[in-house]
Amino acid sequence: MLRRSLPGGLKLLVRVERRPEVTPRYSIIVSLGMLLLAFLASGLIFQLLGFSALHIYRSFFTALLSPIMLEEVFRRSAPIILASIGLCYSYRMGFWNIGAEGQLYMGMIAATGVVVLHSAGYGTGQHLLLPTVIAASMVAGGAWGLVPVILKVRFGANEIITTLMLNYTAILLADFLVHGAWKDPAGYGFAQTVQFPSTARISIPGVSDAVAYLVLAMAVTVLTLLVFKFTVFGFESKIVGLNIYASRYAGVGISSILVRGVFISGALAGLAGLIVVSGLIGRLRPGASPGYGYHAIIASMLGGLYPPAVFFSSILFGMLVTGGDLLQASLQMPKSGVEIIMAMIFLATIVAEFVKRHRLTIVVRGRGVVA
Amino acid sequence: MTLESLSFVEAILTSAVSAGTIYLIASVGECVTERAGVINLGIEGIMAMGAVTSFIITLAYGHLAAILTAALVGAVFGLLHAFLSVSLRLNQIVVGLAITWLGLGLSAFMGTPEVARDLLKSLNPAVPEYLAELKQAPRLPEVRVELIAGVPIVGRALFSQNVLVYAGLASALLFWFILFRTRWGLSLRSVGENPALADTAGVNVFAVRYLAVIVGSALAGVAGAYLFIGYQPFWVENLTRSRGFIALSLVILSSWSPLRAIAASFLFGGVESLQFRIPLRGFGAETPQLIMMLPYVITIVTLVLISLASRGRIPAPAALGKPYSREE
Repeated sequence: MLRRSLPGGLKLLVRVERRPEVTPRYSIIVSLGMLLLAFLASGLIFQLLGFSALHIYRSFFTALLSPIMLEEVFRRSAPIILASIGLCYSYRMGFWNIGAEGQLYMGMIAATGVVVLHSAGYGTGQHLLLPTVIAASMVAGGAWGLVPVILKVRFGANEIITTLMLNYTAILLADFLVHGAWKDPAGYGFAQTVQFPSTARISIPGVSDAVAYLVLAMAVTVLTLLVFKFTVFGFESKIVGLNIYASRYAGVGISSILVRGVFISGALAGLAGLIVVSGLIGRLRPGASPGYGYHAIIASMLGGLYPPAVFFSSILFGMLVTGGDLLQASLQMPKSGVEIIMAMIFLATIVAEFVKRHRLTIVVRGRGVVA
Repeated sequence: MTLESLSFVEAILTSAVSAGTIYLIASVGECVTERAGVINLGIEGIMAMGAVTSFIITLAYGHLAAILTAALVGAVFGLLHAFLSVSLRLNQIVVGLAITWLGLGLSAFMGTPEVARDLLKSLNPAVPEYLAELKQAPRLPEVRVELIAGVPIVGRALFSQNVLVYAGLASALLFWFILFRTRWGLSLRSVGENPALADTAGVNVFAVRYLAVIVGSALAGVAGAYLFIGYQPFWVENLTRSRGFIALSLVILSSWSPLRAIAASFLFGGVESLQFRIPLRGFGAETPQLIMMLPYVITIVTLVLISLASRGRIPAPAALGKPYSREE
């Protein structure tokens, strides 16, 4: 609370109170308002660093809305949607999985491993290749997620630190493989693996890649919504997140729910990795993901862990990633400019939580103005 | 020991202290912050900001200005963290991650040759612009403490380093003394253990937490400056490579004591310097990635060992991570 005497005998009283209830409509308005503020604040930073914010945003959005770029936006949104929907499983249980990037890399590594073996003449026939790479990427991503959850449950190791460390480990492992054993012998010395055959790619006959990926991402989103709303597991995972001690008394096996939830998280990140290596770039190479697993963290929070909202906020991040490359190509502006916008969106998202739950009362000489 | 192996041990120790100072300065700051009950996951990004600041300011105005500006930039980020986590009582984990994100993004942006060049030009037009495009700055000179530096094995490691190494050691001693031997320290620790009780006893919980976060963040800024001008004076994007997060786990390893942070940091400095030593002996010269994994894998192993050693009762400050409000 703040009390001040104003000149002219006026009294100013500013009070911040908890808002009794938050309607969904109010919540959406606040989120969108804060999103706008994030773009304004980033624009201010660009302006301070000597760039014209207006010019940046104008070329950014006019370029993105062209049909070709829109297709690219959807292609690149797909891994973000899958990973961020996956993260919803972790976050609703209160498990701070920052490791989607590492889990995504493990998915890429496993899928590529299958393809490298296949091209060397081992393993499955053509018709079984797709199911094999899907299974491999999902199991690898899920298994990589199990490491921090087991360390947490067995040893109380902080999952934020362990997942971050495992990200670097996975990225370095991918680097190691593409520079060494998995390097394409016919690749003119470039550090990259063989190309994925078309039989190892997710596609729907008759439609473009972008549409196929979106259909897959949408299916995962809807399925997740149903799991959260209508299954025992969905209910239990929410209870774990709400209050870990109460649920222990209620007889919920916390460890097994954590393990299952984080495995699903990792598996979806792994599947996102498959889309990156099989579809977006066609092979594994260093820096294959520009940070899709990290973008997914903000996207899932911006969407309030509500799958349909997370779906759309992930598309916003797909736009930002695609737009970052455009900035570099057309405006000679560093690509990392979009990282600033993303950070501002992150900050705006968490401040929005405060704004939604509180209201500001400003009283001047007894006459109340409620904002 | 032969003379050759003696100098090898000496070289290892010297680089362990040199690399370890990055962790030392950051983890001493984080000890102070966490002892007041606030966890700052933003130090990774603040270190990156400290590094990019020291890169540009060193070129424009020299080392001293660079170190001070890095501390100031760190403090400003700390102020933002404190406002969000202490005043608005938002989740400290999410606030920290957002600050890290901002720091990494902003530093990557400012460090690119075009932006760094423009910044340098507007700060000090007398300095030739191409210096920023080379992405380098002069390294901090070594200051040899005569007489003691001649002591075999540890002499060179501890007393033939640059001034920030000494400052790092001094800050560990200073903050250990403040935390455990003064009234201020007692108030700060009481805020981290039981803020409601400290409040009743007349301690201003909010002021203490603000100060602890700002001091810790300023030190993280200096750690970033050391990382650049004291350790690796060549700018690359993502220069910090999760060292801030490793420093966070070192705070746990040193059970929230700046004094024990010295040992923990130099130990990890040793691990980090192995990356450059092992390939010299033949292994991993072609593909160093497996050796580069060492710090990350060892961090995870360390967390497990701490848990085993303390039988699951890690002595964290009781109110760590919990926002304080008078109403509840």
